[in-house]
Amino acid sequence: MLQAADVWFGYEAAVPVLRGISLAVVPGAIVGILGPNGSGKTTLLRLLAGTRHPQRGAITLNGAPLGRFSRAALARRMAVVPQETHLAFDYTVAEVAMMGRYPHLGAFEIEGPSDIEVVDEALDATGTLPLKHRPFATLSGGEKQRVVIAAALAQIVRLPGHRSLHEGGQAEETDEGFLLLDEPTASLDLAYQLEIAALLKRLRDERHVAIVISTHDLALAATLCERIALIRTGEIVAEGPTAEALTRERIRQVYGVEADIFTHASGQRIIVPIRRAPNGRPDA
Amino acid sequence: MTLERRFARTLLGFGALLLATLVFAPIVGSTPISLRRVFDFSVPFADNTDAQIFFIARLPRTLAGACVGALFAAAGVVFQGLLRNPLATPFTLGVSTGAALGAVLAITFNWSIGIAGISAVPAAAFAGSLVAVAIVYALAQARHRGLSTTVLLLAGVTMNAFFSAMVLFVQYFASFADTYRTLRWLMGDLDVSSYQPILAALPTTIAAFAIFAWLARPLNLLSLGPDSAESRGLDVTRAQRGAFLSASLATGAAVSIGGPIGFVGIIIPHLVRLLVGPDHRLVLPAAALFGAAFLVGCDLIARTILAPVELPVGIITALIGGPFFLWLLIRRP
Amino acid sequence: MAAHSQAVNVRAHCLLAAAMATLVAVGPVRQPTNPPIHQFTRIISLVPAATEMLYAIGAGPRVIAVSSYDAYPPDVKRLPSVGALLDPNVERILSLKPDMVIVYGSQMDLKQQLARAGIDIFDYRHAGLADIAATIRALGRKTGDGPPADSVALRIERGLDDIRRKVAGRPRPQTLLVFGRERLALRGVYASGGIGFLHDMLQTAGGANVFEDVRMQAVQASTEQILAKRPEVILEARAANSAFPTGDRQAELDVWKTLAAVPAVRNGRVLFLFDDRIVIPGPRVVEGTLAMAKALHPEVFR
Repeated sequence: MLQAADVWFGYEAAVPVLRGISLAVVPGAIVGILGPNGSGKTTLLRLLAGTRHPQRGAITLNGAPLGRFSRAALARRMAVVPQETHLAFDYTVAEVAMMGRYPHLGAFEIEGPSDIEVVDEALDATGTLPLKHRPFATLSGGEKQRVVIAAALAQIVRLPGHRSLHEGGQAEETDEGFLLLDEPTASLDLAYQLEIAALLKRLRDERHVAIVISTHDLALAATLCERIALIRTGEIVAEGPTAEALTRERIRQVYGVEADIFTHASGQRIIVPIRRAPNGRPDA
Repeated sequence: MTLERRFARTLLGFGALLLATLVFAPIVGSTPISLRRVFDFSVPFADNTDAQIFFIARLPRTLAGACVGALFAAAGVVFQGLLRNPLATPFTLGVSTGAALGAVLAITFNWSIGIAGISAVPAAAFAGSLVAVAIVYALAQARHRGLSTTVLLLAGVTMNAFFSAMVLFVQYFASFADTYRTLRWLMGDLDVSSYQPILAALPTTIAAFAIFAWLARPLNLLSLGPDSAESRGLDVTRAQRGAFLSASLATGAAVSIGGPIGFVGIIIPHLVRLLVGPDHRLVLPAAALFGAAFLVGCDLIARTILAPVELPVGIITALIGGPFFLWLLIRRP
Repeated sequence: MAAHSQAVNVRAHCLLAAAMATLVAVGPVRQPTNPPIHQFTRIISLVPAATEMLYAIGAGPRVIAVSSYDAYPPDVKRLPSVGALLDPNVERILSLKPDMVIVYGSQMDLKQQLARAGIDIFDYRHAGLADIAATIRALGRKTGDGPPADSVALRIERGLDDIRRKVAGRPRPQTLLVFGRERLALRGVYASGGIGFLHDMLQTAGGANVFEDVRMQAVQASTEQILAKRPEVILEARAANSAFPTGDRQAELDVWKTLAAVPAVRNGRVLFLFDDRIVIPGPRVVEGTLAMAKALHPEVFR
């Protein structure tokens, strides 16, 4: 379980971006972190991934603080999928996906057949195996995201007898890893949005990875996430199962918008923004 | 094809090219020599002009060219990876301009190092490069945790301009002859006439290449962006520091041997990526080998094409580099 | 009557002849022989060689300013300096109100400015050894010191001829004449090519230039070229203020040891000549050539 306990963080010590954040992510769950732009979602994701460290409070993985793990060990358990991926050089899809396996390789070790198998399988799971030898830069937005997700998947796959069982201290290997996605659909077309959502659901169902997505897309969160945490200006305003946490009042409070929520015939929850809240601003 | 196979093939291919160049270059030159006579040990060395030319003039020069070429090419790869920009060169961050300032001061004020009778110009050039590196590094570290590549780039470009102005300033007060000699130094000169400058630069070279070897995979990750690299287990700050320092040291060492020879640090990385792809685990060793062969070849052209006049090698690399770049720009799909 | 007229004719002719002879004899005494010689009295020289020439031909007292590189004769150190080839100080020059300035041929801007100010110029150009005498003559004609200039020029020509005679018939050592390189290293070695006054000086002094066939004044000599040319003598010529400090002399000699196979190095014939008379193409060029000849042929010039 990945847990944040009363976490405070600021890029500059004097200015906290996150205040008193507490959150839990269990294996096999999709958790959404919702909030308007600038609320601290991406920062929280970075803290959860261990690339930043809280000034107060702690982020723990199965009880052990993230700082206890080496970077590589942590990377073998958690993978981040950023909103966009820009490559400086012309790598192929296979090369980009293979970079997900780097945390599993020794200092001068080269990826072996088992790594190649893991990568192929991850590409297949995201439907991008046919693109394997194409230059990454020539892909569409949706394809690129799927490849990056595949790389993240490959990153958290543990092979039997492999390093991650011996390194990293007290991580109990009872989970299948964590995927942290930052605005996974923000720059994608509608079709791709649906694609990614379906993919994430499948990954959760088939592989039991824990998924955390940070997004400002209410509709996506409503359909995809079992639990959500609503963040406003660095504080968690509501947290819990989606149906309970995502209410009209909360939406007004966090987004400053009057909205209607109802369930579509397909079972999906639909959120329709109606108008701005009377004072036009999120409640104080 | 697996990475191992590609790696082996790349090393063998470029290694063979370098070997052929190293064998061929000392044999060819403006003065015809006979290989048989070179290795005719029955003739006393003092009377064997062919052997003298081979062992005293051409062999050190060839080895210097190989060393400098490898250093510039590899440093170019690393700088491009660090700055995430294929247009970066070993000279982008002011290292070579700092070296130029050191050299200009040594030439103009006739510095010399009394001990061991070593000429001060290479040492001053290396010292100048270290000063430039220190300043740029301090500036880039000043306000950020870790190393901000944007600030690094700005600091480097600024120091470039500043050191260039200082070079001009010193040249203004120099005599006509000193200015001319400085200009010639700036165009590159691999005629080392002894192994001493190469040996002096050897510790730095070995250290730099050791760090390069370790940097290959981190550079792949860095090309995704610092956050993505960090989330894949890379200590980004350490990798960036290592990249900056090793590439700067390599550049400083290369400049101290042969002057600031341009274009090697940008043509070779591009060419190599075209041939073997962007994986730094292939690009770095290939660039080092190819850069060595390339510079030895350019120096060969420089010293034979207008014999008996010897052109500065920097002119040849520029004449090849310019059109190559135009071609690169035009062919971009 | 015919004899009488003939005698009158003869007498008339004689009288006429005598009168004409008288006129001819007296005429030049009565008329001025030449137009008055104009002498320039406020001369500025930007060229150290030309400064020396001025002093040699007796125009020294009329020199009012010199270049920043001038050092001979010692008197010039008292004079104001107005810059040199690359940085002539036009304001200073004009403020000193010269009537003639000796400039380098390449100083285009300066020449234009002086022309606009109505100041005469002498256009100096470096050339070969033989041109030194010619330049002295031309300078003398310009400044109004023709006869002294002629005699100085003649002395130079005779002095050089004298040296030539003394070395004639003696074997000419293959010589590498180095006039610049990096301190304590054999990098950036610049030697005299087959043209220019250094080359001429070497020839006159009884040496053979290894780079005789290169039609350039300066050659950057690479290690390979030095080894291939196998000079028997290496002469390092510098101006006096560019001389190697005494403490470094041995080290500077030792740098040549990397080319130990070169005959000059092997036989210990690497010689330093720190002498302005060698590097300044002026009136002391005979003394300079003599110094070089002594170095090349010590047995002739005791």
